[in-house]
Amino acid sequence: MYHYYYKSLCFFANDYLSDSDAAQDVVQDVFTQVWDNMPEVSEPSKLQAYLYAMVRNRCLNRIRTQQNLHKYQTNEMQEIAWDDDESVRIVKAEVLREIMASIEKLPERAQEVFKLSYLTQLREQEIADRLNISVNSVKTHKKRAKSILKDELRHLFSLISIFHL
Amino acid sequence: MDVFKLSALVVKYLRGNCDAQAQAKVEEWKAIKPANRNFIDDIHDSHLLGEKLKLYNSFDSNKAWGQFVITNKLKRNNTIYMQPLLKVASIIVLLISIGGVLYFLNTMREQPQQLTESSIQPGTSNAVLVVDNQSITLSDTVNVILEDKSELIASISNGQINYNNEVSSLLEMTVKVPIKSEYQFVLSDGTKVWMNAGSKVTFAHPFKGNTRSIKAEGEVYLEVAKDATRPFVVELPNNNSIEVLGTQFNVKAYPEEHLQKTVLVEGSVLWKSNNGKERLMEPGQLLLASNLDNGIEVKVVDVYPYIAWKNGYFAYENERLEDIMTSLSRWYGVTVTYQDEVIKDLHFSMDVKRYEHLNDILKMLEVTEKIYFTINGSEIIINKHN
Repeated sequence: MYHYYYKSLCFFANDYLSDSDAAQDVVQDVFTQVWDNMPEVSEPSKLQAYLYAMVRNRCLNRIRTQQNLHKYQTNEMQEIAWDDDESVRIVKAEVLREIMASIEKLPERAQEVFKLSYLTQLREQEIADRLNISVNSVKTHKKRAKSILKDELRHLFSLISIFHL
Repeated sequence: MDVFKLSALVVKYLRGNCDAQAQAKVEEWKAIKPANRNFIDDIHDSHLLGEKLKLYNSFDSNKAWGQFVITNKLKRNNTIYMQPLLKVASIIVLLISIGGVLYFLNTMREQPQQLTESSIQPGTSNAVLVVDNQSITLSDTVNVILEDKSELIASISNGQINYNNEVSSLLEMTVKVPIKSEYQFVLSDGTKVWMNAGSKVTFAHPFKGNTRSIKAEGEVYLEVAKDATRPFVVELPNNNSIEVLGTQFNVKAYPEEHLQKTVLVEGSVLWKSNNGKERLMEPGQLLLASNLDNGIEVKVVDVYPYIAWKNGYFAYENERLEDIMTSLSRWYGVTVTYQDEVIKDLHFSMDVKRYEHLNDILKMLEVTEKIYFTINGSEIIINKHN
């Protein structure tokens, strides 16, 4: 559960706080509270909504504290409602997890090369040096990653030539 | 629509495997608000998507989990474990590796009673310090002054070693922890060492030159004091080693076992094999090194079961019975005999206190009705239920 939600919740919190360290503090805080006092939720989807709601409430309270406003009085188990802005933030965090999951399903080498190329933005030569492989095999791994992802995320790829590989 | 159902729909849409109706729903959602449309447009932009994924991936869940475990999971001593009923419930039976489904129809069968008689005590805090051919028992009540050529080397009070860091000569010290024992002490640089039963740590006092080097065998958990100028190196059996830069990790490397297991909790370590292979480990990773073919494998794991022993628990997650029993035998000073080889490969999960009598733990394993134990002095015989 922790690993499944951690990054999405941090991303979501960061949308409010624009501070990745603070976002991680908030999320750790939420998991600690859940650990100390596991809410009685029957379905996983309820737990998910609950986690997002706890993160949201803490973020809003942090912002309010900074602005010297009254804190939100929240009952965390009450019916959770999202406004439009919050909804799109959640969709964003959830969608990124699934895209990342597709990347993490790539074979090990192809995944390493793809991450270094697309996320760390290293050149082919730099990747080759770092992984101690030839530039040609960097190219092969990239191609492989690209074709697998093209299949996995068909619509995302159909509109643009993504991942300028 | 529920926001999580919507998210799932958007994912399907991006994967290109949703039907016309679902697609229409996503298009409809896109049209409601500019923010929705912007989001969909943004993730179709290679550069913007890359930026988002980079941020997303910068949140390090392994590292955070390591910290979470240390601050939360390990301090829960007095909660659920005090209740015997819950304790039994915490045993989860896993994997029936014998083909087919087993039915336990003969509930009238007589249960073996052997477990109620003798009670086997757990290990205690106990070690021996060997310096210059002198052996000193390190228990909670021992107070000794160690001298060499009338120079104070170290004093031992309440079983803990206090070093004289100004010492002029160099001495080799070895801390040995026998079977049925565990021990915790601090090295002269402030590094904390937890040693499990049947382990040995050797180090020079003071550390020579600009590395802090120790030799370890058995199972050791280290919380290495930060010192960027002097790397900390752990030499393992079979000439493997671990180079450390301020960190917490567990290494299990008993010479008689062919697998060495290193688990990194926090920080970073460079693991080096005898034939020049190196792996830079990240928190949450388990490195398995085979002494048979020198092969190594790295996996991401929940670190808790690997370090539970140092906090007084036996925790196993879907572990082979033989591996569980090997640890138990070191801690309780018993030998184990298997009535049938298949028993060794049964898998169990458990999370119990290490300071229980062995019988209590065996009884819990018996609740699973897969196996039962008979005790003959210090020999445990494991039998299979038919």
